[in-house]
Amino acid sequence: MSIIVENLCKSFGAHVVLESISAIFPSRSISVLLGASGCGKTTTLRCIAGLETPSSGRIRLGDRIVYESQPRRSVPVEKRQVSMVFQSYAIWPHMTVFQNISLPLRAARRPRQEIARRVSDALEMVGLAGLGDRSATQLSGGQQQRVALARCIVSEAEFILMDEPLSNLDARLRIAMRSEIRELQRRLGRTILFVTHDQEEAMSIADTIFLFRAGRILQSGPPELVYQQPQTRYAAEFLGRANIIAEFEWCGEGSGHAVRLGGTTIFHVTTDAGFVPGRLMCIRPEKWRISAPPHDPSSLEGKIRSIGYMGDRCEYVIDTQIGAISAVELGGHNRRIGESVALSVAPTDIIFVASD
Amino acid sequence: MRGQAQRFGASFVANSGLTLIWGFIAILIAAPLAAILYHAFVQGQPGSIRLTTDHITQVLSGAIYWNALRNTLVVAGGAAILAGGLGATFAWIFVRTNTPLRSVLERASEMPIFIPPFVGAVAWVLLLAPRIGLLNRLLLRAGIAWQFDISTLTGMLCVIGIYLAPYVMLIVAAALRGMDPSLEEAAQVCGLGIVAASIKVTFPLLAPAFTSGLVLAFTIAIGLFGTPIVLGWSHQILLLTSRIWISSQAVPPDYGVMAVLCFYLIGIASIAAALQRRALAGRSYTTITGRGFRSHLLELGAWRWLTFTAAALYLIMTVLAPVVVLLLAAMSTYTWSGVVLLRNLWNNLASEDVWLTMRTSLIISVLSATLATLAGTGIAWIVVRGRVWFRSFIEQFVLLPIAVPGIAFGVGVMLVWVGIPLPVYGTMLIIIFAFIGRFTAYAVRSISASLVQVHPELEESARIFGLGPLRAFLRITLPLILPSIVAGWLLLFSFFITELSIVILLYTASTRTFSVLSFEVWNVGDFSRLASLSLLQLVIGLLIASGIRIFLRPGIVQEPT
Repeated sequence: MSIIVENLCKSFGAHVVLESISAIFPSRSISVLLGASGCGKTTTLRCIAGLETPSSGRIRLGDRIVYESQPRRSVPVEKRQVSMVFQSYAIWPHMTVFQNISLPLRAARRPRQEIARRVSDALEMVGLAGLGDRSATQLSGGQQQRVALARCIVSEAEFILMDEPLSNLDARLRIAMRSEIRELQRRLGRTILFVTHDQEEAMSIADTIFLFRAGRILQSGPPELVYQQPQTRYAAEFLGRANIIAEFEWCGEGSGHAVRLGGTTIFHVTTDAGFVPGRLMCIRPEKWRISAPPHDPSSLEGKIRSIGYMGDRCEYVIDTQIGAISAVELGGHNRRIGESVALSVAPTDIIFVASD
Repeated sequence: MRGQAQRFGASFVANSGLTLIWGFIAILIAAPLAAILYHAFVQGQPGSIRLTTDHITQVLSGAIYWNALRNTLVVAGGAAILAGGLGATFAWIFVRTNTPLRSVLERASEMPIFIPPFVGAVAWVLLLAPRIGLLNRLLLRAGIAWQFDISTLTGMLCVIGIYLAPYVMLIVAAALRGMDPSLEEAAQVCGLGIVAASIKVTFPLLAPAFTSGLVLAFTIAIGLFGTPIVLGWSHQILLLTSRIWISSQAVPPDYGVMAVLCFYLIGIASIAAALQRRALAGRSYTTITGRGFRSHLLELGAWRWLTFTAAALYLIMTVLAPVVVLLLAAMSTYTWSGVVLLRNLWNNLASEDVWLTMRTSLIISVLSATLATLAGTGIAWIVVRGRVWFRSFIEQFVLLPIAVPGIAFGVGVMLVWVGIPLPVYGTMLIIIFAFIGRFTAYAVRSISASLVQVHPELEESARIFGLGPLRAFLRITLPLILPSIVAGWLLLFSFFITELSIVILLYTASTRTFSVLSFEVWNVGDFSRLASLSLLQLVIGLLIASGIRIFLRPGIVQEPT
């Protein structure tokens, strides 16, 4: 069952947080709401949860309308049947782990045996079997995170909302939890909305990314699509690093599609690269092929200005006639600063993005 | 449809709650303050109401009022300076030096806060008053003609000052504990010695806390009623609060003069608060981070016995000597007869008067503390969690009475109800109204302080997982803030059970409280009985202090009246 929001608006006083968001968050998959802080992603999530009242619009959870401005209708939080993982985990400190996880079932007045069984199942699923009697305050950050997940698991809610759930964990644990959440989603088959500002996290966890900017959804789609075919400069730069090249000459029609850089270099491009006058050229750093200079018009010549050695890869800044270019090469630890190199790129790796 | 019905229900509850709070503010807080204003500037005969400067002229041209103002400033100012000096010194001794038993001494030094100021005054009269003071009698017996006299401006400011010192001590000690020692270490690394580092870094960083403590002590001191009366009456050293009381005893009571004198008190308190704000403007570098730092203790060597003695001496003067002298006086058949009988203490307490007034005090205190705590919880919730635009307005209004000395607030409440034909004036209700209006602020402060510690997501997540708003509050937020609610209740109860300065204006023969009884017994000069009653108040105060300590571990600041 999918979550559908239509023309969702929200302002706090004169400050507009959401200007008309419309989206379908697909059923039984992970939708990631990605964006910089203050872009409205958390507000959208809180509106869906019922913790925030929208100014106008409509929110549908599956086949139920839970919020509508005309005619006015708003289902209270506790009746929306969603579950949520909060940024602070929101583990109740005066309760044990068992009491924390069982609260959704106790609120629904389930029989005692069923509660005990389902809580212990959930504990096992998140790897905390046997810790039910612990006081919640004795848990580490990672364990609290798991308790918060277990609480969602026992709740029968079809929809799980996650508000920056991993941002308080250390880097190593954060990466481990990403795959655990994906695994959990596969086993439970629920609809998950996941809010984050971390693009790497978004891409590794999402089935669909919804990129937010200033209260709007800028672009949405599967991670690889949003990464490889960003429609705007902002999207290109938010989802990873990008060389944005403004000064190029479009040589269409005649000799196929190509661009001319700095008067000499000619890169061929695919027909559907999306060029429209006024657009910018965008090449991801890892798409460059770096070689020794062959004095060839299909490559861009330059000198390495700096090298960042990252172990599995090297990151270069290369001075060329069209300015500084960033490039990434796997391995590649044998290059020197000042070395002359030639940069070339496959026609499919050149995309054109709107300048915002 | 069901959703709409629920919405209506919820908004009905929310609206009636807000109406209740506005009514609360209007009747219990705004009206008394407005009544003072009205009676100070308006000549109100039935049928003709006109602005007047008569009352102000009367007060400004009366030497006795100038004298009271001068006495108030001297006593309160001197007491605040003494309290500041003692408090800051002891804070430093307890937090920063290796004085023996410093943590025990520190906790014991908070005790004077819970000794009703009236009781402390009685004890010091019994110790140092000319002729009847125990020490003076010992001096006489030893053949020394010179006598102590506690009934002087100096005597008054000393007694008040030593009992206010713990307030400054608590605030400065908290600031010292919260101060990052690396700030001082950085100064030392830069080449300053310990003394230079203290002057250049530590003192400026502590200045905000010290100033707050000083202003708090001063504000408490100007509002004290029982202490200055007990200490100063015999030589007719009268303060503004004493003058207000005297005017209230006139027949008919001189409401105009009382109102103007209340204005003086409120004005002085406001000026002190404004000066504090001015002095601290732009210096909001709070050193209190909430996490405790372990700072280096200063090794005092042999000097540590000096600091130990100073702290011990302080405790003897504020706690031990008063308790001993009260016990002795309470068990003496008449003042210093030399016959000491436990039965005498019992006889003093086992009178019908004691139990009747104690019952009245208990009823008033329990009701007021409960209502004020309930109101305080609701207001704190709105202030911290509410989403209404006027919540800071509510907060300002509810906290306003903190700057109004108790006796002035009592005058305001009296002026509101004296002319209203409802069964409030002359009943327990008027005392309860005054208590709630004046003291709810303390409940709001202590409860909202603990409410901000509770992350809103804790309650939100309970809502998400299926609890309604009320159940979420009762199951999640309430249990988490309960200790501070209970501590707040005890704090208010401890104010109310010994409160004198408000009650003295509002009681009638049928609503005498225990503190009024003590005051009357002082008035007739039955010192043995007075000591017994004081002892009882002292025991109650210390019992409550230990109760509060159980519920709220860090020291809390309380204000006597």
